[in-house]
Amino acid sequence: MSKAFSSIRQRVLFAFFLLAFVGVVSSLWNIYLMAQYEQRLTQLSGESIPVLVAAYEMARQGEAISKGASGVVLTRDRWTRQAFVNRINDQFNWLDSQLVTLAEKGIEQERLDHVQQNKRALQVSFGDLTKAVERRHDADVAGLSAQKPELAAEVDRLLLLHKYHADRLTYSVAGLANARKGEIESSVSGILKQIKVESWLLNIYALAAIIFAILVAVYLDSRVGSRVVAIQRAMRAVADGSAKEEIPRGGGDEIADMADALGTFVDKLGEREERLQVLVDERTSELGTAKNHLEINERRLRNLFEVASDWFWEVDAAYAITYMSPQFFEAVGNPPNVLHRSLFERMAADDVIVEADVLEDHLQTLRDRLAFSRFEFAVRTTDGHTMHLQSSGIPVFDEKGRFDGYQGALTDITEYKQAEIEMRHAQKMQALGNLAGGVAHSFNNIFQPILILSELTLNETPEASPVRERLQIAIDACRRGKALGDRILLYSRQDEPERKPLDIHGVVRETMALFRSSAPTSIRLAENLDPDAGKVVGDAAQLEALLLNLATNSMDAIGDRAGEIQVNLSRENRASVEYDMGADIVHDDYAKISVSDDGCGMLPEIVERIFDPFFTTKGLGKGTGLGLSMASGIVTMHGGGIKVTSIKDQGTTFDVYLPIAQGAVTDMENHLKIDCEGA
Amino acid sequence: MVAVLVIEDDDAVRFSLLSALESMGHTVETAVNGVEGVEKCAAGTFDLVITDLIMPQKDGVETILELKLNNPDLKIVAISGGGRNVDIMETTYELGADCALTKPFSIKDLSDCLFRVLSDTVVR
Repeated sequence: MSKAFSSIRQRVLFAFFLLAFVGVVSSLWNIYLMAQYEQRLTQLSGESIPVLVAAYEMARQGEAISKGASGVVLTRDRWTRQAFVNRINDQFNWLDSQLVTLAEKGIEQERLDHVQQNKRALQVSFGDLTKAVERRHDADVAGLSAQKPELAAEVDRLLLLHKYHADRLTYSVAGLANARKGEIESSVSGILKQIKVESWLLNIYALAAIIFAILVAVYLDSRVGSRVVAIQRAMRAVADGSAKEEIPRGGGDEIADMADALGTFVDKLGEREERLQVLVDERTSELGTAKNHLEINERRLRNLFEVASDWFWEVDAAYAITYMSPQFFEAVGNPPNVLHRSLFERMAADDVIVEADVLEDHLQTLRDRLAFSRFEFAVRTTDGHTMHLQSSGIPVFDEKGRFDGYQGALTDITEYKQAEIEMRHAQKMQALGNLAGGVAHSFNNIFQPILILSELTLNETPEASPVRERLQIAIDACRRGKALGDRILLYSRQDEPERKPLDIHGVVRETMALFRSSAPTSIRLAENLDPDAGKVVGDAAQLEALLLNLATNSMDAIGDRAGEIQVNLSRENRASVEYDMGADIVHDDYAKISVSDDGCGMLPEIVERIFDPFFTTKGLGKGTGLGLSMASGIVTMHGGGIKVTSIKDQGTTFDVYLPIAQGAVTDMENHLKIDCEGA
Repeated sequence: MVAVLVIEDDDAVRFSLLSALESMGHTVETAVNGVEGVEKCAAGTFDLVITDLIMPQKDGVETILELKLNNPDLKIVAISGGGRNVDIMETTYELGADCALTKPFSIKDLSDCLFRVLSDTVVR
């Protein structure tokens, strides 16, 4: 099929155009034929039929003329005869006029001439007859009877002739009519035949149109319907995203074009989908990478969080704690009510130690959503320690500026606090040293002239004089003053203690024996001393002073009422060693000397300050406030530590830990010697 | 009999030392600080100088250094009230003091010290 008829629409249009063209042509042909038939029928009705009628009339006139002639012959009355003659002449005239009319109707001239000729012969014969009758009449009238038969025979012969001509005319007219009749018959039968053919043609045309319509329908169905359905199915499959169904292609028509377009569309869609898929894959992979990075970062952060010495915390907009570094729980001993609890509630809990007004300031800062740093407080761990913490935090706001909680860090500053306390203690000790040094120096300068001048005066005083005794008391007082000054200087200088291996059991036992001799009887002294506690390297005098100091404190705490002082000595493994003040715990074993009393005890705030120089709970003049600070100094210099546990109205326990000398004592001595020389 | 110069800023201490030394039979002169002491020492002839360590203007350490510089054979006894500069007592030996006494010392402590220092001289 040529390119021009490649489309179904064109084909169908062309087919209908063809059908319409054939229809129009056949209609026109029909109209033309109808016009032809009409013309011929008109011709028949306008010419042939009038001719037939005229012929019939003429034949009838001819017969009438023939009969009239008989009347003329038979009529004896002239006048009546003349009436016949006139009538017959009129009939001849009518025939003439009819002939003229027929001539006008296109009758063949030959036939007309024939009729004309017969009419004229008839007219002539009638004239002859008329003349013969007149002669017979005249003869009658004249009485010429002789002539009469002759004349009668004439009339009869002429009448016969006249009839003969009349018949001839009738025949000729009939011939005319017959000719016309055949013509009419052939015309009508021709028209009928034509109409029959036309009718057949119309039937065939209608049938052809019906078949054509059916063919077009079938064609449309095969070329369009099924393919459209197939395309529809394919499109539906595409839309459903199910298995790809092939779109029927080919054919070069618009369905094919549509299929092509749809196929291209589907292909493009597929390509686009593939491109999108690639993009999605890329994005997914990018997202995956980003997610990976996020995960790496998160893991990194989490690892950092977990290895950081600081702990991190978060609260949400409602101040509920949403995150707390796991190490916090390890360090503090998994306290309850941390996660998902209000920060306010948490800070007000019993195990948080902070001054009320400081806490209120801090909580107000939180309520005001302000950043804060280095807020210090302490918590009591579940195993009874006090842990000092420092908290810093910043408020977090979301992209719309709404408060979204806090993020912050906690730092364990216990060691720092400890160091601070120790440093403060050391500073106080130094201040004490300076002060004591200055005081001792001044006192010594004051005692000097008193001593020497008293001695001089004593020497110059007679033996018997009571003045000597007074001077001697003054001299003794000077010596006691010097001894006190020396002691104060000893502590204030914090001299390195003497380093000798000592059997700590012996030291404690002897010191307690000494103490027992000076203690009032109201105080019971109980001892539980492990004789195998081991050897301690140190200064016996200093340790003795230390223990006496502790025992005296216990005695003072009991006061005038009855009480008990319990002194224990044991050997402790490093793991169980713990103290508030002292040197770092680096040795494997320690001798633990506990001095407990059931005296008045102390409040926590007093316990905290107990090792401060000049701090005393004893009344004015009862204590120097130097005892425990010196005790802690002595213990520290021996490489050990001291711990105080006190409950108000129940009693106080001092635990002194001294490192046990390891290995052969001689080695230790050598080691210490080298240490001293190196120092 | 020994010629002794006592350098001591504290009046009572200075007086008590003067009395004690004189009672022992020595010839005694006094100075109230290191500057005066060095001047007096240069002007006169002394067998022994007793000097405090902590004094205004010129302290004992400086004084000892200067005296020893001027006269290396001069015997010097350092005395001190102790206190925070107690370590100086040891240092004074290194600087050249022959004896050191911590206040308050008795007449016997002083005489023992003088005996030790001066017998040393005799030995030499």
